[in-house]
Amino acid sequence: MSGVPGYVAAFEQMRPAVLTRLVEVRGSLDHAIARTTDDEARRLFDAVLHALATLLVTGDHTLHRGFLQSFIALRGAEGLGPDHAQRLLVAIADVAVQVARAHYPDDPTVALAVTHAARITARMVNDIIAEELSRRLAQLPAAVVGR
Amino acid sequence: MSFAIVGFGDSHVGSVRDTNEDALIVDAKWGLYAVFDGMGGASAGDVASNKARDVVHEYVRARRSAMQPRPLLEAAINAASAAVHAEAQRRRDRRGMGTTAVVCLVDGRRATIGHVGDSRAYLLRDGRLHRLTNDHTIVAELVARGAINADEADRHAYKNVLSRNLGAKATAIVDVNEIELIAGDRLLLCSDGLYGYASNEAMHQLVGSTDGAGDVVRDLIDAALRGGGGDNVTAILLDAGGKSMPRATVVLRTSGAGAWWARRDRLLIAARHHGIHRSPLCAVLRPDEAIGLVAGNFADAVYHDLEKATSVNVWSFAENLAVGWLGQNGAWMAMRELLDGLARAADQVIGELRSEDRGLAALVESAIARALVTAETAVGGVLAERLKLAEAELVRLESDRSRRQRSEAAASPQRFLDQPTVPFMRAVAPPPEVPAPDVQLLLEAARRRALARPAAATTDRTLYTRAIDHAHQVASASSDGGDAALAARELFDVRALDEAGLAPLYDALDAARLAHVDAVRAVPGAPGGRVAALRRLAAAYQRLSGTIASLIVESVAPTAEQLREAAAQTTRLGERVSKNERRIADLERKFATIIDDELPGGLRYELGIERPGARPRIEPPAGPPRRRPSKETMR
Repeated sequence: MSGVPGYVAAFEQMRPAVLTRLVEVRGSLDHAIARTTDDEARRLFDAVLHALATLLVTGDHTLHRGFLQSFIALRGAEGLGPDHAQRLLVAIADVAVQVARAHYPDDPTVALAVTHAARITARMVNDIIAEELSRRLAQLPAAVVGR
Repeated sequence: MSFAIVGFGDSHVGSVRDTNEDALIVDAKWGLYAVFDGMGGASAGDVASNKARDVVHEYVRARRSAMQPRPLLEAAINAASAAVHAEAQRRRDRRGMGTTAVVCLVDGRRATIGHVGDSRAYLLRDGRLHRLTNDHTIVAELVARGAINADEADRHAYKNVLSRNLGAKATAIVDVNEIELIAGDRLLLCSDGLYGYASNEAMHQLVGSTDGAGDVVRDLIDAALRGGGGDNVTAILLDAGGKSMPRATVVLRTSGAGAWWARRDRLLIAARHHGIHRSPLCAVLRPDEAIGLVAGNFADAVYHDLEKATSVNVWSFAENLAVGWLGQNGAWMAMRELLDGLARAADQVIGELRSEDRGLAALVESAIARALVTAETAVGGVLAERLKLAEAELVRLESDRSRRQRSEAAASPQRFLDQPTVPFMRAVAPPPEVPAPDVQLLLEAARRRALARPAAATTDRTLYTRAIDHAHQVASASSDGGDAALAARELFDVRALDEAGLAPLYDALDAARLAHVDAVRAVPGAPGGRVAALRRLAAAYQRLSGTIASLIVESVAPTAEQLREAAAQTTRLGERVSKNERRIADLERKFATIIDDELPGGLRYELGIERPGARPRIEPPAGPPRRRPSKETMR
């Protein structure tokens, strides 16, 4: 694992604890997830944590953006908007930060790395929404003429 | 360090009502704390809440050592629902009575919270007040389904209509949260008479104060009474003792905030260096004004959030910026670059702080990073709102066009009808990414799969099947929404507008949506086709939910109108009663004066108008209703 920052390994080590915590507090994170079974919630949270871990390891924004587009589409399929998906992703990262602070009280780098990953995630979601918005706005004149 | 929980609770009838329909449990021996808010006419509300309180208390005491907290709470709350339901069935005058419940069972550090209805639980941790429960009201369900937004919910006429309660049915669906308490935590359980009349800020400030639990509860109730006290008020505060905040938070709120404030000028210089004043957002401002307005406000917002351990100031700063800029059709890239410029300027300030105090710099860096996440989230909300408006406008234009074409086609049925591509699917209408038949086949396969799935035992199978079928029809049909209205009406059918009538419908819709979405994911096919199918299904379920919500509102509108009229009439009658009481008092005084003037004292006593030694009557001054003593308090 040479060349990989220490916080990456630390994040991987605490992932099971973060997952357990997320399943416990899912009712306060998201109304829709509160009604799912433990297994379903665990699968969803695990996918997000996996994406965050991949971002921390690789720093590959393109890969992360691909994950976010799928995540937004799937949440959209459940009737929830992209801003809702963004808030859920940030809330998941917040829980990871809390667990990181409890696990590594003397080492702020893990919590900081996760917070930076959350910021990148929130920004990318904004980019995706903004692109969608500009597409829609570009269609408006044609739709008005079509009247 | 020992970990002791101190709990205190109190209840007040409020300033308007005559009876207290709230009930509470504060039982430190069994670690049981609960608030119940009863409802139902003819004094049935307090019967329901007291019944539920007694059943939950007895159930937990009898089985505390034999059961785990989570199943114990679920079973206790269900037993209470059964008891209230049975009582309501037994007596005609108690039909329809029910109660909310928020019940907390503390076992060591672990607190298990079960709730049904709109009584709430809050957690104060690290200076922040988090709401732990979601209200079970029709309006909250509509918000969760995206049918209305939070602002509309606040103004909604039916915001207090419950979608779940104890007593409507023999069993209740209980939401359960488990949290690990840490030293300094505070848990607040309360009825809607508290949060409905005391502001969030006041609640946050009082719960976050260093006063003891008893004082805080009394202050909370006072705050609700000052806010109008229109309902019974009940609050329980659990204090997890120990130091009030972890050290890092205290350091951040004091030294961290101070260090940031001391470097405010450095931030402004760094912001200028990073060209904030050249941003298109600042085009109409002079450079100094631009730096002061954008970077200065950012610095102030971060400082206030650091000091108060909140994120509300940075949120407001970013949201205002986004609303102002994006609202004028400003480009996202300009906004993005401005936020990046502020982040780089903040990095520079933190770098300088790091050379002086590495530990403090790490804390501030973490807090600033979180503040920037908050800013992104606030901007995300504005962007999403604008996207929603743009989509709604496109849908409206497309619906108008479709309607016009249909009427033209009806007027001259022999003509060939040109049906162009739906404009909002692609900017320049290229051929669809996935051929429509593929999506149609995928939807059909998903429907079969979803129907083949067993529904949960609590879900109405017929409604579940109909929901899937109707959603499938809507997703397969065109975008004009006519099918959705018809499908929603068929699904809604004829039903009672209460928990028993509406809960199965929403449960079935929920179950159908989840099963349907899962089925789409499970069907083999191209990812593009799956995304298209998921989008169509999402829109279909949203339309069904939205239309059903409209049907509910439409159905209760006449009753609501009657209620409003009755309330207005009650007010008018109240005013007449007050006026008559004042007239009676005036007449009594006049009569007494005449007697005083015309009759000798002894005769006045003989006539019974006045007794020897009687104190003169003093009329109470006009003013707000006086606080009445608590009707019931269990400690």
